[in-house]
Amino acid sequence: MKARKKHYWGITVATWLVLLVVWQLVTSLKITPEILLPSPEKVISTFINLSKYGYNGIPLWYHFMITMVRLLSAVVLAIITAVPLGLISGRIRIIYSMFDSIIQFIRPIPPLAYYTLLILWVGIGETSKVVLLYLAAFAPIYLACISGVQKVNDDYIKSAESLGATPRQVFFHVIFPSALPDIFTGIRTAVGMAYTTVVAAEMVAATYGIGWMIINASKYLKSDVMFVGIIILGITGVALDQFLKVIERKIVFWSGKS
Amino acid sequence: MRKTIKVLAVVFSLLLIMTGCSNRKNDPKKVSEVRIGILQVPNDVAAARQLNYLKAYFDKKHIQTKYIIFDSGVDANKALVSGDIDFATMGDTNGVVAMSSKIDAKLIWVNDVLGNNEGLVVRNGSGIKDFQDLAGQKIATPFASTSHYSLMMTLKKYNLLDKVSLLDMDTQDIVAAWNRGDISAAYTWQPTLTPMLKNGHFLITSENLRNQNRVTANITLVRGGFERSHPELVKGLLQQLNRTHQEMQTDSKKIITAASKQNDLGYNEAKSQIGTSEWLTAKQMVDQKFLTETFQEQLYITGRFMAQQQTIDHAPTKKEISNFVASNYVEELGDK
Repeated sequence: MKARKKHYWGITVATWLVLLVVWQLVTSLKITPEILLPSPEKVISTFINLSKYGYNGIPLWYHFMITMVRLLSAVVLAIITAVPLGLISGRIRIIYSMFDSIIQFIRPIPPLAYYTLLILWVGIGETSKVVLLYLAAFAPIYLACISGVQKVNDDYIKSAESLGATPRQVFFHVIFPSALPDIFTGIRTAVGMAYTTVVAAEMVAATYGIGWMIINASKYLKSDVMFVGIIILGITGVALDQFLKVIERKIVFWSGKS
Repeated sequence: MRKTIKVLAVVFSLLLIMTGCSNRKNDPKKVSEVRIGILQVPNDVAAARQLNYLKAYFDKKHIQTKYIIFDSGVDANKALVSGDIDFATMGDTNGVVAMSSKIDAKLIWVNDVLGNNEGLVVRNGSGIKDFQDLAGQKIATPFASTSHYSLMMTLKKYNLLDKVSLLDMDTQDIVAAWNRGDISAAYTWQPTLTPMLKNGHFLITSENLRNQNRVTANITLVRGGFERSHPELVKGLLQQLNRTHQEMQTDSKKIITAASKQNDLGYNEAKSQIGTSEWLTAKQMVDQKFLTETFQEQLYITGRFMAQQQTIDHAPTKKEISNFVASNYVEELGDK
C-alpha cells in the first residue's frame, strides 16, 4: 500500500518535471513569442527582481499581505455570520424559510456581476473588496452548516433530551460538535470560492495586491510579472488548503471514525 | 512506463496546440475581412465609418469591414498580440508599450494630436485651486493611457509624485466614483470629461502640455503580419482617413456631424469633445516632418519617462522607434 502511494507521488513529480522541461524547450527554441510565454529563467529573475525592488514601488510581500488580509478578513467575517445562521437555519424551520431562498438566489450569481453595483453602494475602498469576497465565501459555509445539522443522528438528540439536557445544552454539546466536520468542509470550500474571486476584487481601483499586480502587468504586457503573480497565487492556494486540512484534522480528529 | 508515455503524449499535443495558436492567424494570402479596433470617441475613424468611406473602399476589394470597440489601447494591444485585429487606434503610450514589449506591429497614422479633449478635472468646491493642493488627494486615471502619462508628467513637474495616491480605473468607473464623491480629481478623456465638467473644472489639459512640448496623440497601429502581406490595403485605409482629415479643414461641419452620429452625440457635444485636438493631414505631417522627426522625439521622451517610472522594462531606443514608425505610407499620401 505504502509503496503504491510512493509510486503515485512519483508520477505527480514527473508530470511537473515534464511540464517544466517542455516550458524550457518551447521558450529556448523560440517556438512562441516571448510575450505569450516568457522563459522559466525570465520568470525566476523577474521574481527575484520583484522581491528586491517591489512592483510599482511597493514591496512584493506587501502586495501579498494585502491580498491575504482581504481574503482572510472576508473569510473570518463569513465564518462569524454564516456558521450561527446556518446552524440555526438547520434547526429552526422559520429561520430556514426566511433566509434559505435569499441565499440560494445570491449563491449562483458570479460575483463580478454585482461588483460594479457594490462599488456604487460602498465605494472603491477596501470595503467593497472585502464585501465581494465575503459574499463569495458566505454561501458555502451556510449550506454546509445546514446539512451538518440535518445530518445529526436523531437518536443522539433524543438520548440527550431524555437525560434532561436543555435545548441549549443539546445545541452546544450534541448538534454543534456533530456538525463540525461539515462546517470545516464548508470553510474550505469558502476559502476556495473567495480565493478565486480575489483577482476580480482587486480589478477596480486597487493600488496593491497580487491580483492588482497581475492586472496592472497585463496593461503593460509584462507577461513575466503576470506569470510570477499567477504562480504565487497557485502555490498560496494549495498551501492554504493544506493548512486548513491540518487544522481540520487537529480539531475534528474524530471525523470519519464514527 | 506506459503512463509516462501517455503523459508525454498529452503534453506534446498541448505544445502543438499552443504553437498552432500562435501561427494560425498569420499571413492568410487572401483577406476576406479586416478587423479594426476603435475607441468610442468622435475621431477620424468614426467619421470615415459613418460616411462609409472605409466600407466603400474595402467593399470594392470584396473585403468585409468589422469594428471592435475598446475602452483604451490596453486591450487593443492584447488583441494585436493574439492576432484578433488588424488595425487598432490607441493612445501613443500604448504604442510605446507595444514597442517596448516587441509586439509585431507598426505605427502608421496619427489620428489626432490631443488637445483639451484630455485633461485633469478637479471637483468644484473641493478646495483644490492649485497643483500643490493635490497633495494627499486620490486621483483616478486609466493606467497605461496617455492620460496617465500626462498626469505623471504633471505630478513630477510639481514634485507631487509621492504625495498623491493614484487609482487605476476605467473611464466609466471614474465617472461612477466621481458621482459618488470618492474622488475629487481625475485625469481622463472625452466623453467622460463632459459629465464631470458639470461640477468640476480643468486644472490642466493636454493642450497646455502640448504647448510645453509634451505631445500626446492617438495613433493607429497595424499588425505586422498584415502590413507585410497587404501594404496596399494599409495605404488604402490611410487614404480614407486622410480624406476625413482634409475635409475636417475644409468642411469641418460634415466631418463633425458624421463623427457625432456615429457616437450618438449631438453636433455641439461632438464638437466640444473633439475640442482643440488637431487632425493633421498627410501633407501637413510630411511638411512638418511630424512622423519622421517631431513625433518620434516625443515617443522617445515618453518611453524614457515610462521606463524611469518602471512601467515598462526598457526605454525604446531611437533606432527601435524609427523601425516602429512606418512613415512611408503617410509620405506617399502627402506627396500628392
